[in-house]
Amino acid sequence: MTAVGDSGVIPVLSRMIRLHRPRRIHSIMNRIFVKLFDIREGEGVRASLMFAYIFFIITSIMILKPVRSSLFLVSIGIEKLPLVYMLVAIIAAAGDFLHSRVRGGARLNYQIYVTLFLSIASLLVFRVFIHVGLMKGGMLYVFYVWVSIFSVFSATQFWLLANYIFNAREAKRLFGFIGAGAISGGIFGGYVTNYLAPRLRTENLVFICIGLLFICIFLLWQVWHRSRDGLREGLSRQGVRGMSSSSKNPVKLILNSKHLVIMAGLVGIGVIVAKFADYQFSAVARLIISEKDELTAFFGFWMSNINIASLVVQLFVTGTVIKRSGVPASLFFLPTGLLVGSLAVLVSPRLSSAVMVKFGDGALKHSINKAGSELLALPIPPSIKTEAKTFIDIVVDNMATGLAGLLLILLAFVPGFSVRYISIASIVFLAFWFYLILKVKSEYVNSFRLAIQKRTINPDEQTVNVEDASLFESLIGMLEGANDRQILYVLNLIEGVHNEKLIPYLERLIRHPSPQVRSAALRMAMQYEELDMSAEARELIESEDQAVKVDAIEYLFRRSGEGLSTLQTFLEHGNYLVRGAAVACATRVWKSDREFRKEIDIKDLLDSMFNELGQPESSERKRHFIKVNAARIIGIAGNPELCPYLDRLLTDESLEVVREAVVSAGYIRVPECVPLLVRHLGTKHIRTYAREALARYGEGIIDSLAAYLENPLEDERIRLAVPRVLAMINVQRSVDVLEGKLDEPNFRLLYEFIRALNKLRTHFPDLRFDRSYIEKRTLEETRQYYRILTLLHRQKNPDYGTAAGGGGDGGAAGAAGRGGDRGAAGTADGGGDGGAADAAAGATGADGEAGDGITTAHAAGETRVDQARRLLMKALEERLDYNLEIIFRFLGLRYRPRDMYDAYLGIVSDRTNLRANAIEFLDNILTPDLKRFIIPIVEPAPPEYLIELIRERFGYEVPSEDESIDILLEGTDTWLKVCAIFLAASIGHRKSVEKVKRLAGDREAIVRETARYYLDRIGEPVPPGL
Amino acid sequence: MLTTVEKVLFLQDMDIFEYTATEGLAHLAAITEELTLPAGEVIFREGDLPDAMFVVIDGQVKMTRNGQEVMVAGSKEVFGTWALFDEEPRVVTATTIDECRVLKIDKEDFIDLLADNVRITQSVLKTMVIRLRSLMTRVGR
Repeated sequence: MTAVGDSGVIPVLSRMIRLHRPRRIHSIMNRIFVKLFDIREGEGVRASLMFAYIFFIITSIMILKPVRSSLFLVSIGIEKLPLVYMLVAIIAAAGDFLHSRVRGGARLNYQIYVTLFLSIASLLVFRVFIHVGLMKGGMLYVFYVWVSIFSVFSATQFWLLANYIFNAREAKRLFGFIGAGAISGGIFGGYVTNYLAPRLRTENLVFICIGLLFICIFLLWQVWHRSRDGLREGLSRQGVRGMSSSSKNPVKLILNSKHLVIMAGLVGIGVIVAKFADYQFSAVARLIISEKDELTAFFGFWMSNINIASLVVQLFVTGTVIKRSGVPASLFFLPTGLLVGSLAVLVSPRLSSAVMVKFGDGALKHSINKAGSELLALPIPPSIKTEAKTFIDIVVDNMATGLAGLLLILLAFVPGFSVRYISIASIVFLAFWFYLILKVKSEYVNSFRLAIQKRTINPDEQTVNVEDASLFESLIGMLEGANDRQILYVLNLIEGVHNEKLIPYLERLIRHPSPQVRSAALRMAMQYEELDMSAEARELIESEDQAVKVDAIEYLFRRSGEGLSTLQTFLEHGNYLVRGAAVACATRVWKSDREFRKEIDIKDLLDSMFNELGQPESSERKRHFIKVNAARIIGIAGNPELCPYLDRLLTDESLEVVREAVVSAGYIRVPECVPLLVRHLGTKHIRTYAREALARYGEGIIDSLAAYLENPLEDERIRLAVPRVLAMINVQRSVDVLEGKLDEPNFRLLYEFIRALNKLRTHFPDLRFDRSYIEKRTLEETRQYYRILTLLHRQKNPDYGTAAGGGGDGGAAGAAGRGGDRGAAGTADGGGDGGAADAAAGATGADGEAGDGITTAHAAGETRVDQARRLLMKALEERLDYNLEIIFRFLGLRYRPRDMYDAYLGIVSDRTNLRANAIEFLDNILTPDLKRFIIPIVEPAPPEYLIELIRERFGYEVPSEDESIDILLEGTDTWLKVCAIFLAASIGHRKSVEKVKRLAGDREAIVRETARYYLDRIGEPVPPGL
Repeated sequence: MLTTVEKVLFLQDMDIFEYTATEGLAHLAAITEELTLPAGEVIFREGDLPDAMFVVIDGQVKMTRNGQEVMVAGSKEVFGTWALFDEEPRVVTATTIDECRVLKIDKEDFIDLLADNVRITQSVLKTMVIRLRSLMTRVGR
């Protein structure tokens, strides 16, 4: 755990405290928040803003709901409440459907802005209607439904936003804190309503809500603005992307899993019984309270109380119950509470019993039952859970609400109907509810066991489930196995769980043969004061594994309670490996403990390490270790002041030292390291680390990287590597820089730019792409495709357009849309010079025979001219393939990437039906312009037809042989240029001699070499000075 | 000495590079070494650790195992392909019959090339997969 820095928690509060001297108080406040909520450096402001945001949203909901209920009950009456339940269900389902359609193209923050502004406008309209006396009859239904939908949408959008802003690991720690904002808002909103309704009048409470929503708009602007930090957003958005892009049928998914069917049943019955409870509560309240403002205050008062009860249950009951009794047991609380309430209403339908049933529902539903229900879904694989859970939470919930309304309407027809009847209906449903809970227990444990075996649970993404008693037993049982990876996986899962049952396992694992397991066991042992492993830790200091040494020293340091003196012993140890581990341990503690920073100076430790490098008695091995260790330590410390030490290591001759230094540079992120990191993009074995380190710099580094792309004299390996770094930085600037380079003539670079853009588009769908420019570039690439096609046609049909040629056939244009006919060059027969080439494809192999791999392949009787022409044709076909890929990559920037990828696979497939489907799909989705250019490429057609179409539609003629060679020599494609020179040399083509002479001084070695070969073949001297 | 393009002409007919684009072959050609070997020269011995594969430009190379001739590789034929992909010792001895010119592809350089050029890697993997699939189909029958 790291300390909260200056960014602090609850910044306004912190700033106020600072004004009053305060360093100490500020520090205490921060410590409290760190202890309570585990909010870390850099997270404070965002977490505080999100806390405030949900607080105000829930406050406004808690004001609006009583207003809605009292207005409806007083004017319309309780008997129409079931009808409005049904209306809410139908309209919410329709709204969700529409929302899911609309939201596809819009960024989340804009969606929320729109929702908030529309809500404010709607509230103003409602208030005006109340003022002019129009809020009656149907308008009250509208208002009731509107408030219900507003409640669901605003809360859902908030949690979507939270998922965008925090990555999985942050969410795990911070959602508890943020969730407290929701509960506080619930309590506050209810009491505000209770206090203000009699004083301001019910309808004027709407103005307070409007004010609160304006605050939310400001908070949204702030939180979005502060959260655009590349990787962090990127990671969380990947999760969101995953949620929205799947196309599995949730109904099928649910029906295929007994576990999910039961979960759906539990949610459905829970909603029905809750609606019954709500009806009973409203009916009894309306019977006793007739005055509107009094009724509003009454609802507000009880909502607050229910929220307080919910908070108390959440804080003091939920965790304990889940730990001690397990998730399935926690699900019994809500139906039991509702059963008690329903029985009370059945026996005596008074206000107290109605409050009891509502209280049972409200206090338990959003606390212990919510936690239990969420944890119930954990063992379901994420890919299924996302779809199924969303369906259950929205569709099943709405259907159940509608059904509850319908049942209430039907019950009303029963002679002598009263709220007692509803209790009887509730009890029937409750019986079924209890039955489902009993059934879900075995399914839950089975699913979890399966998930553990398949490792479909990510330790980073799950929360408190492992504290569930039944799961915990299952998990620690796995620690007895012999599989190291499984043991480490389980230890990782239960990291942070404090449970005495683990102690005997830790005592055993500390002697495990795997050093990683021993390390993990030691780290966990630090949590148990009653468990003393000092003796074992001392033994582990002798371990060969350096990480184990570090953990052992940290254990002894924390365990001894003697502070620095324990650590000092190891820092002065005779063995340099132990000293190194002690420095690493000291740095780790230094990083997480501000107090410790006063006692130890990391620079001093590093200085003493580097001094040892200069000692003549230091062996090469020792020097190497010191440098690797120093590099790691700088990364652990993450302190920019240590940059000068890192500079030395980044230029070390050992790849291992450089690699560690590169990784650490990504953690300290100082501009001084950037040039060296960029250089390492071209270093084998280091480049992956350099990429990740540079990406960690985030948006701030983009302009520096862009400068490398701009410089044509820069090492091409680096220019090729930079786009991959940009693809990892999820900010608009990355897109802008890459889009600005899409006119790059070097096709290798162009390919990398588009690939990087494709990655950004796929992983971060909220980024904006210039559609019109991309469409323009797509068309240009398509034109390029046609030009290459005409060149290929000439090579395959040398007599094309002459009296001798005419027909041509050779499948030249068949290059378009082909998938599996690679090597088509060898089978071309149109020009009369391809026959010999066929033999070339007849490679025979004998790899298996001798076991040492002998392969025979040659083209019998093929002349040099045949070979050169075959090579050029093959190169042109490869360019067409490449070009087609580029076109689809461009389309992937314009349309949904997944759709375009699938279409591309279909187009290049050998399977006719797949290709036909892909063409049909493109025909329906592309704009008319794109369609006009692209469909001819992908549609199977005789080559002559295509060549004619290209000529008529785009004006591209098939060039002559001389023109073809000239076009290729003047082009920007190095490889085609080389192949053209080679053909020219082979056929003794002298018309281009001047052009080739110039190329003898080209910057590309292969062009120079082939140009000189040409000049040599035709007997021309290489120009002097080249 | 062969030019890069001439080397490409040799390499493009090798099974293992069947799906490699000609431009990729130019990169491959750049890492090849052209050797001229006298008659009777042992290129590698049975049991040697593999470090390279070879393409015969001209001349002949015989493969022997336990002294028995297994095969003779002539012009445009390759030997020692597996060396590029595994660490197992050579199973044959390769000796030139007459003066030979060969292209040598060093294993380390080849692996570096694959690491640098994803398209070449894809093409080599594709060849492997197609062979494996064909083998599976034959076994399945």
